[in-house]
Amino acid sequence: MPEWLDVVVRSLIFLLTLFFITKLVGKKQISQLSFFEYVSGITIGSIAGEVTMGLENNIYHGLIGVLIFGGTPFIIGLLSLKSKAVRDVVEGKGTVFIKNGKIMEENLKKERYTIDEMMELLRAKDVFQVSDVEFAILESSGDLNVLLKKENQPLTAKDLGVNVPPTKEPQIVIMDGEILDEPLATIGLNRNWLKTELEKLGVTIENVFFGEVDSYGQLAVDLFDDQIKIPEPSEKPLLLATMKKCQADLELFALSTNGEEAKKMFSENSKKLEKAIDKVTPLLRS
Amino acid sequence: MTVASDVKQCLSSVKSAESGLARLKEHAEDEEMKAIFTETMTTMSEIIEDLKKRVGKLELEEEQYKGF
Repeated sequence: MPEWLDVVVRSLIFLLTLFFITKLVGKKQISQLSFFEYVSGITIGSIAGEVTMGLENNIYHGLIGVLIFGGTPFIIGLLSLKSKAVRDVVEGKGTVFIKNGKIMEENLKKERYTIDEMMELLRAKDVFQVSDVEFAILESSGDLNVLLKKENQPLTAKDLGVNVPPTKEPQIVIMDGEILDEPLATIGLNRNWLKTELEKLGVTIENVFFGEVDSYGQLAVDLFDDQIKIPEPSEKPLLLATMKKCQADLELFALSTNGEEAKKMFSENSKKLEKAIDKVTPLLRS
Repeated sequence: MTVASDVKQCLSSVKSAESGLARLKEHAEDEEMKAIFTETMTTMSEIIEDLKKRVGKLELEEEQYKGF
């Protein structure tokens, strides 16, 4: 066998082997969360490279090496699923760098991190001031994870006490002009519904590059031809406006009518409607 | 424009809002969302009832604009 053919065969064999080993060990290998996966990742790569190009090396020896380096993390992974002790040894524990807003100097020293390196990791998390940090931990993967002090955390709807409507994940129903039946069925809709919605927008299915349905059952599309303008979904704001108009009308009637009974009826209903509007506004605004 | 026709207009607006809510309710996936829509729809139908009664009375008063 000529040497170049040998390289081709070896390359293909190792490519396949590495592919299956990575599949076997899973996503953990790719993200290299633990020490083990980090080491085996490097070693598997270099063994494969060495054996592919160094033709004097025995290919079976290379395969054995790769299999051991791929198989061991897999077995260790299974073991560490079962036992916390194994996990602590193999994957390591995080080291607390900042606690109660104070830097833990001993822990920094233990991990041989300088204050500059810690600041670099903090900045990678968009934190430029140590005084903003309540708690920070160096994970075994080498990432620094930061809990900001409450006043420095981003404002959420919960902080403001604002009611927000629950949302479900949107479903992609059209891709490249093709209708995807499975996601349509997941949200309990069908092709007929989609056709009517597209007709409402005035576009044909062939012209739609991408279409998704949100949790309110509204269809939003992107067309191949970006020159064409499609109307934004206006149903909800329109509905809200109608309700507000009705409420204003009722109030007006209450003011302008002379009959006591009618006045009472109008103002009561206006109040009822006002309450109802308050309730649905978060649902209709988005 | 008369009072009766104003009230009738408002009545039909409320009706349209109610049907809009019903449509949204049908498409809503979340139970909580559905509950809010249902509650609002109940309020709307109560208002519709009251307005209908009022329209009836107004039609008695303004005989010449009877209709619908």
